[in-house]
Amino acid sequence: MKGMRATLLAVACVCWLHGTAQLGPVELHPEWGQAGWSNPALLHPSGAHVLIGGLAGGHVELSHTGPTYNDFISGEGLVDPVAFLESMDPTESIGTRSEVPLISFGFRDEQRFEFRLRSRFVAEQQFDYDRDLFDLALRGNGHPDNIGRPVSLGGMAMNAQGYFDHGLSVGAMAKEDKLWLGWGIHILNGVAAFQTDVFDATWTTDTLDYSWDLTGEAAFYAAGADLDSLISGGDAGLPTFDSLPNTLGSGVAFDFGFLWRLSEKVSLEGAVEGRGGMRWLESVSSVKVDPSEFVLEGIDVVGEWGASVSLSPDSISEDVDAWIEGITDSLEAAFSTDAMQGLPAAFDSRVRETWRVGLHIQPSEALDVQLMAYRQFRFGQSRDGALLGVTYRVRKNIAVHGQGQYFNGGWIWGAGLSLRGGPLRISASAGNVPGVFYPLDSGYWQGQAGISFDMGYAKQKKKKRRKGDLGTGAGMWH
Amino acid sequence: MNLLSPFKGFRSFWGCVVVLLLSTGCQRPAEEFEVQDITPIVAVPLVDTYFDLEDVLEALTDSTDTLPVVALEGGQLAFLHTESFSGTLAEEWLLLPDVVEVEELVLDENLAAAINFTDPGTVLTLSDTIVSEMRVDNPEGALIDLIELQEGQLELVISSTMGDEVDGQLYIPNLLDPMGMPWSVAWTDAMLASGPLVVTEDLTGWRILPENPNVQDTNLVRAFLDVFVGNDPGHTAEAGEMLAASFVMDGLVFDRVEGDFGNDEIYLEQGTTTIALFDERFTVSGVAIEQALITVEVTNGFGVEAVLDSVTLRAVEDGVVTNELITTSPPLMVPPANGSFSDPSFSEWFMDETNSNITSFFSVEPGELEVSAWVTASPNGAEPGAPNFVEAEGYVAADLRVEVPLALTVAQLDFVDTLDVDLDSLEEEAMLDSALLRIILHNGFPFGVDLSVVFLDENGDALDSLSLAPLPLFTMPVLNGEGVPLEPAIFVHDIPFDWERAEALRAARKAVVQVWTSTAEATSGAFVYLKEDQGLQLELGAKLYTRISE
Repeated sequence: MKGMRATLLAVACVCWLHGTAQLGPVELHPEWGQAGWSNPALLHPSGAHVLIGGLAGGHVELSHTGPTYNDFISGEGLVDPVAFLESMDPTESIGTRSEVPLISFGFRDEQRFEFRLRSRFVAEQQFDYDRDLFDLALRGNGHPDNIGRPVSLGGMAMNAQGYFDHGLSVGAMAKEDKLWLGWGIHILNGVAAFQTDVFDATWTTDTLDYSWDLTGEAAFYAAGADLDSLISGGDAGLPTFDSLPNTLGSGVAFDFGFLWRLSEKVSLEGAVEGRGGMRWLESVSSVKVDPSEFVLEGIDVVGEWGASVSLSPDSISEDVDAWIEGITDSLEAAFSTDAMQGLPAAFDSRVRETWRVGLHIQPSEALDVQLMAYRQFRFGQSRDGALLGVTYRVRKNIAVHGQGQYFNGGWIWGAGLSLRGGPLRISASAGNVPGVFYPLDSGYWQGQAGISFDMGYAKQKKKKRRKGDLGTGAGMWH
Repeated sequence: MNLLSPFKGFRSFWGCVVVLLLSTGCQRPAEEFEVQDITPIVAVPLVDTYFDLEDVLEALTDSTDTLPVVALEGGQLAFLHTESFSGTLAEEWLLLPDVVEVEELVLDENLAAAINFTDPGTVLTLSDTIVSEMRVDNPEGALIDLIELQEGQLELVISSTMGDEVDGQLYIPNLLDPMGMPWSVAWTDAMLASGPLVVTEDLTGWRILPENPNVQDTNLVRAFLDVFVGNDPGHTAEAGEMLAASFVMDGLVFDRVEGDFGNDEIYLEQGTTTIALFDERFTVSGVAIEQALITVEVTNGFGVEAVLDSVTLRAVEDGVVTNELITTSPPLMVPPANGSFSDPSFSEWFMDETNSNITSFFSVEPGELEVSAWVTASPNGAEPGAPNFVEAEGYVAADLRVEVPLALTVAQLDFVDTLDVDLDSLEEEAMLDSALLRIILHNGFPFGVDLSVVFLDENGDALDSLSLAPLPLFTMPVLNGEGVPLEPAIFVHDIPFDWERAEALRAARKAVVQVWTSTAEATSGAFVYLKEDQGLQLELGAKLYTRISE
């Protein structure tokens, strides 16, 4: 059996996939420290715990949904642009997300009630890009696949925000040993944001006369950055962290969760995490391009120059230069930007929101299997996935986790390790283990490390607990 | 606590992990990268412009020296040739003669005896009349009633050899000063003592009123001379003594002349002009035009009625008259100016296909034309009380306008020209593999055009051509019953270029351009109508096969 488990885990490790892991061990199990924030109905195994700021729960995620290195670069370093293009989905994105906890602690009254407080700083950014952009650059608008086709760049977007999240969360037993409910509230203080509210650009090349039809509109918002200055090539005026940054946006987000023990070995859980957002009111600016259309049909020789046109090379060159200048002016006029400063440009942004529902199956005391479906919203996009996770407690103070997430037509394999020695717990996880081993094949990497003091463990260890108690530390897992 | 102890029971797992790490975990990117060439195809619109027929034909006119084109009422286009005749100025048509007259009063024996016998203190009066005829040769036989002088000069010289006292006076009733007073002069014997008496008069603003008493005596100016002779006892008059009076009016320039100027001709034009629908580079057959119009507008600033009865147009080739315009149009009566040259009369003489052979005249490619035109003055004579007049700034002129509406049928019109070309100076763009030039023509004209361009090297050998067969550049559109296109016909043609071909074209020195044109249903003689709103949309686009190398 052990050999079989090892083989499964090894297979999980060698398979490569890329994508964005949504629910790692950190979010699934209390032993990685943050489960109670993902589902407030889940209680921490220790009676009390304090997470050390800056280390505990530090979260760095770099995601890239596009082609991987090996998709378009050979071992000899030959870059194949066509292979790059063929490996792309219609819209790809590259993004980062990092969380830096400032302080976090929680207290639990056995399995009845848990109270948690946490402050953290979250910075996240996502740049979405359209395959058509690369298609145009690599194959050109005159390629048979592109000419006559509305080439849309509507997938292009840039979103980023940084904010402080001061959260309070509680979990409580609602029905004796059957049902636990939890909720949390996040007070959000925004530091800076950039939002692509609208970006729609379509370029169609006529198959007959090769004329161009450009349509589009755009709207961008920013807080803490001067878009008007940016457009004119000036300084963005981003906030610095020399001192405590000003709060430019504020808002609230909520968490809800439940855990329903269906039987001794099967539990159903569901949660909504981070439903809310911020309104940015201070130091905001926006740039807007109203819906417009620009058609390039070539030089109207008669209309532009009439009979006065000279056919000398110098004159033609000058006339063409003048025409190009006129076209540029017309293009700028068609898609002129309208900048606004201050309150009229106030805008809203959402924080990452995750919905999940699934089963915890505990065939033995040491083994926990999770079957989970989830939907996650981030920067206006939603992603669905399903998760199969296995947590194995090698010993009472060591837990390992392996998981596979089916996401975006493929599998993502992740793993985690949690070690506890006395009151000290060290945990680590990776959302894409193959990405660590095969970075050239992976477009995604996620890591999380934490260190915490678990208190009340020894006391609880002396108590005699019923077999199968959930969320009670030693009695359950250790 | 031994942290490794838990792994003892799980060795197989960690063993696999270690093996995997050792075997595959050492991925390293290549130290050097090489990017394969990128070959995007860029499709760009180059030209999208619209010529209406007027623009096109104007451009052809500039390049082929053919006729300009104007839009007629209703939008129909027409070839137009205009030419101003040189005409005649009044000062060239009517020339005033000088007036020179000398009269001598010579004593004969009887008159001398009579003076000698006259009592001292008694005056003997001798009178004479000097008559001068202002004969006008141009216009011949003109009878002049009035001359208002702009400038002129009169000179009177009196000389005497008589020994008695001689006083006198001279009086010209036909010469009036600006106040209307006749010119006269008187002298005494003392004025003649030192020699001949010379009297001059500036005639600016003066008037001459010649007399026309009968058919033989015309344009007469009379001077009346009276000589008063007093007997000098100390002198004995002898035969042969004399007194001479001469007067000259010259440098006469008129402001206005009235009279009856006769039936002289007034010149409008005589010369050659070039009216060519197609120049020598065109080969034309089966060309017919449906309408044509010649208009001669006469501007008459003379106070003379005239008749335009001698307009001649002849087509000349190598000095031989090949065709002559014949018309049944009646002569044009040209009214006189209305009292002054500043209010001239305008008259138009028309000649079209209904009263002449004008359509056939212009269908045969008339190149050089001889043009001559005169009007004849006063065909009905001067009316009593309404004399002819001319003024100094008066003129008679005419404008010729040849208008050929573009309603024609052309069975075949070929154009051949050889142009100098030099493609050697074109710089090669290393980033461009090849290109495809697309030509799109939306032909709204009621005729078709086929084009062929062949490039020749310096030896005259063909290097390349625009296409293997002539391109139906202007595809013949479908016409309605009135010979007007229902909608433009579209022609699309791609011209591939690559560097090998471009390199070969560098040796090109000449380009032979051939154009074949015909109008719709020309063989059946159907006319097509070219209108201002008929146009040609020209679109040029290019596909550029580029190569971007590292």
